[in-house]
Amino acid sequence: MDNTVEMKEKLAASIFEVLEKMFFVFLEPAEGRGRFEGHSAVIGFRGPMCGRLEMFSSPGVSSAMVRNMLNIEGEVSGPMLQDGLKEAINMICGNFLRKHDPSKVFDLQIPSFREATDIPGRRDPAPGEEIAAELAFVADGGSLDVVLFLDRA
Amino acid sequence: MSFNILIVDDSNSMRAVIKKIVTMSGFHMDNCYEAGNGKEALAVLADAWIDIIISDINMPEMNGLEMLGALKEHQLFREIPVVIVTTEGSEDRMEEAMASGAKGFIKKPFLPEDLKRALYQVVGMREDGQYGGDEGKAGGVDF
Repeated sequence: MDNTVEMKEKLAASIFEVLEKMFFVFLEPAEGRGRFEGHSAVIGFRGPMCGRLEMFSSPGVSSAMVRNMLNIEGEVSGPMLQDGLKEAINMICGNFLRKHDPSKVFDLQIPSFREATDIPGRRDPAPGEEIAAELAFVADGGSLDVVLFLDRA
Repeated sequence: MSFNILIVDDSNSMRAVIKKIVTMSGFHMDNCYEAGNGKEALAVLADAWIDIIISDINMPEMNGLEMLGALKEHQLFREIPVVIVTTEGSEDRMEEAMASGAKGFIKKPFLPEDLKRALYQVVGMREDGQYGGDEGKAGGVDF
């Protein structure tokens, strides 16, 4: 199987697994990119391949994820939202990397969170990076996109 | 018998989820302590009696593996069973954690039953609360 296709499939499997098991959010694959009016959480990784994984989620999906994870009703505070989304990208990245190659050790960096205003342009690869996989989903309340950026060798 | 549990994770949400799972599992928990990294965990251990530690690996300041190393150096802390709950699931990383003294290894995302099973196993109890399990043999749980 083509390496890119395989990587995309493994990333999709990790996203479904994490979102369903820990956040009780059931995604449907979508075409194109979601609207960039939500939040993003990003994590870098180092190992046999290096890069970053970034998740862009609309406010409705972000809030649903955190509410479901913590089993709470009502408003989700800013700190809770940040913490929940950072944990989500951490889990997706770790899960994906062990699906990619369980025999190799990858060092995960500490995830970070970005507000909507910081997002425009973040979807483009930085110098020295390329997009290895880009996946778009919809769920109740909005969209969720995940982009895998890899450092060029 | 009830146990004092220390949850070490830099995510408040994950600590809350783990605490809720332990509480709802019926596991005999007396007090639950929390720490945001290994360094904070060592400070808690200096002040409170802890029976079981549930810890992440990837944390700022002092990660879970460094914390395991620090526990090993301390006569009072080296026997405390540690269950690692982490996203880092490579075979080498798991072996490293177990060699450093971890008694259980759970990969995120996990199901509540997985954590419950690991806790009962590290204290050598069956899930009905009776003794007779395989103490210290929680091993890895792969999903």
